[in-house]
Amino acid sequence: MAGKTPSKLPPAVADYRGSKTGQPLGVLGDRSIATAPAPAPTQGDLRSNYYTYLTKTPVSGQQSTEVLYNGDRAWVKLTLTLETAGPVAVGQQSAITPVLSGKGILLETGTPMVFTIGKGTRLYIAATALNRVKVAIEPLPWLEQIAATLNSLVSSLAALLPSGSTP
Amino acid sequence: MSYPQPLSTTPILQGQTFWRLFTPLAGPGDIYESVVSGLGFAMGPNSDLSEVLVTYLDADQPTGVNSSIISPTRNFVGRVDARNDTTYPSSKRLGRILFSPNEIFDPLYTPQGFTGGDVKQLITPIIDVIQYFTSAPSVVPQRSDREFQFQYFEAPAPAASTFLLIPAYGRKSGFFSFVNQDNTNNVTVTINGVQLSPSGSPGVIGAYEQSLFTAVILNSAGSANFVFNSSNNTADKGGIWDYFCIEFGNYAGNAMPTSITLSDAE
Repeated sequence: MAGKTPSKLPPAVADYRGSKTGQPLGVLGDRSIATAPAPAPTQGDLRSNYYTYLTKTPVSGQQSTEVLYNGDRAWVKLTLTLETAGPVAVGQQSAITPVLSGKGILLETGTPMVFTIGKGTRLYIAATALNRVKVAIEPLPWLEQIAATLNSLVSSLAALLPSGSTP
Repeated sequence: MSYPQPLSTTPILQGQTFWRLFTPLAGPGDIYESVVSGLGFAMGPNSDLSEVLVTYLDADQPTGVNSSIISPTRNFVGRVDARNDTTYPSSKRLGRILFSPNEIFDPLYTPQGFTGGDVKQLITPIIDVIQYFTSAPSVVPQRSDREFQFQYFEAPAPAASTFLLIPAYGRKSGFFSFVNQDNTNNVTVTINGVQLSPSGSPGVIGAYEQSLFTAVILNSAGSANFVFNSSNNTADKGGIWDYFCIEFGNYAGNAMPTSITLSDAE
């Protein structure tokens, strides 16, 4: 073996795993270096989103509650501006109807209302007629990190406490 | 009525801030509806009607229903909800906002003195209501002047009359101009004010007509002008009328340039 250089894996190779077309799906990294995938939010979660939401007209006298935003993956700052007369109710509970019952809050025409939607929560919307609502969704990844850090801190503190006591 | 009636949802889908109900009436019982809420209601600039009833759900009333009259001098500012989620207690129809004329319209009205051989031409009134989706102005200007221009009318039987009925709801002044371009035939022009009746169809039962000016005979190339003022109670008659009825006696179907301008100003 003297004089022979040790075998070495190529620094990068084409990755055919899972390819159905025979074309490489991507490039594998340098497999001679140990790496671990870094957690990263998807681009879709970090992208701001602006659009107009049209509330649904109840059919045959029925109430209709819709999910306006589903915060399964990230914290967001949600800004709603009612462009029409309303009445439009929003709330974090699904039971916000009847619209005028006060179970949700009514949007005010032309006045932006800002909501901070936590991860894992939803914002519901209901109306008695067709309305236009301006929606601006701006992710708050740093808020999620702060929340995680706080959660970790609380857990650490809780671990220091004698067993049986509550933090 | 234009069919289907103007859709109140279209301007919302297009991002407009108002909906305009603008359509000729079809009959005395016309009711139009808006399926969206409004923050204010006003007469449109081109309305022939001067009073429109806005009806909506009101839980504070024993009947569950309330209504408000809008006119060129009075709009209605405030949020009125289209309640598609519930129904009117009396009719079990969805609780939408309803618009209906608050004045009588009778398409079958027969003018006073109408006999066999006469013909009648009726100008169908237009309802023009604006529903605002955003804050409405508290002061609304009066309606635009309404101008009618005619060159010819439908000819009656020989020596009979053609009656022209034009909507006058709430108009306070008017200018009428006639020119007879018939070379051989004299035409007698008469202008009456008409107050319609809910039970007057057909015929003049319950309705009321009053001559506003002394009839004039227009010779060949003759012309005549009349100025109407609602507050005039001296030589000619004033008043607020539903229709002006203009009779062209002995009209033979030749050119009869006619110009009529009605205004909300006195």
